[in-house]
Amino acid sequence: MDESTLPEPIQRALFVLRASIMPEPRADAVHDNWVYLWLPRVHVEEAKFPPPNERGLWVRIPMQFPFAQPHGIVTKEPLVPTDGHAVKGHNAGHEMCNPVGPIGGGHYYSWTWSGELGQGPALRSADDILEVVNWVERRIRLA
Amino acid sequence: MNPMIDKEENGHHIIFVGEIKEEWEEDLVLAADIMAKAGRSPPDGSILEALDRKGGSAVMEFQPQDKVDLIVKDRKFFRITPGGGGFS
Repeated sequence: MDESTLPEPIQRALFVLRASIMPEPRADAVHDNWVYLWLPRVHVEEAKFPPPNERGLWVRIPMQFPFAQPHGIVTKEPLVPTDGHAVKGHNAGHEMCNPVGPIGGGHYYSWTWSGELGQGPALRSADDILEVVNWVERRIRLA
Repeated sequence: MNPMIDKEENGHHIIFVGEIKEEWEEDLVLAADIMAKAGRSPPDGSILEALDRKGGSAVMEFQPQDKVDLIVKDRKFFRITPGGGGFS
């Protein structure tokens, strides 16, 4: 998609990602208030998940980022822990996958920034997209 | 195996929060203080994770108000990461 149509903070977030931890993030879709941001290299803890331990996934970023919080991720393959336990918030084939369904999105994890596990940190700038990546990786570790 | 580790030669604990080196005289340190020394001012929803090695896997997590025992094994390398979360 044409990134120049995205709000400036999201364009900045893509720039920050490219300049720091991963070279090829993409905004693949916009649906309602949500941008589906492809993160090509998210670390998946070796001790808890079988390989591959770097996977791509989409994180749903609000158009108002950083003034509103991410909500949910979409994966191509399900996250299946090595011990086989069910991952909370997993919805296979959920309609939230539809915007990226044609390019492989098939599993929605309805993870919120704050909730039962406590309050997520305040997001203050587009640069905090790095915190979002850390948050996704931690949520997978805790899945 | 003895799970305890000794202090460094100068009597201080040397720890790393990401790439940031910190020295502590005390054995028991508030997680918020470790984060603050690394440039993060809690409470902002961040937590401190103890790692099994530099850049390694998290073995324990600490809320800002928790005390971190630097004598215990795997209290050399840390990272600050966003806490919180829920399900809908």
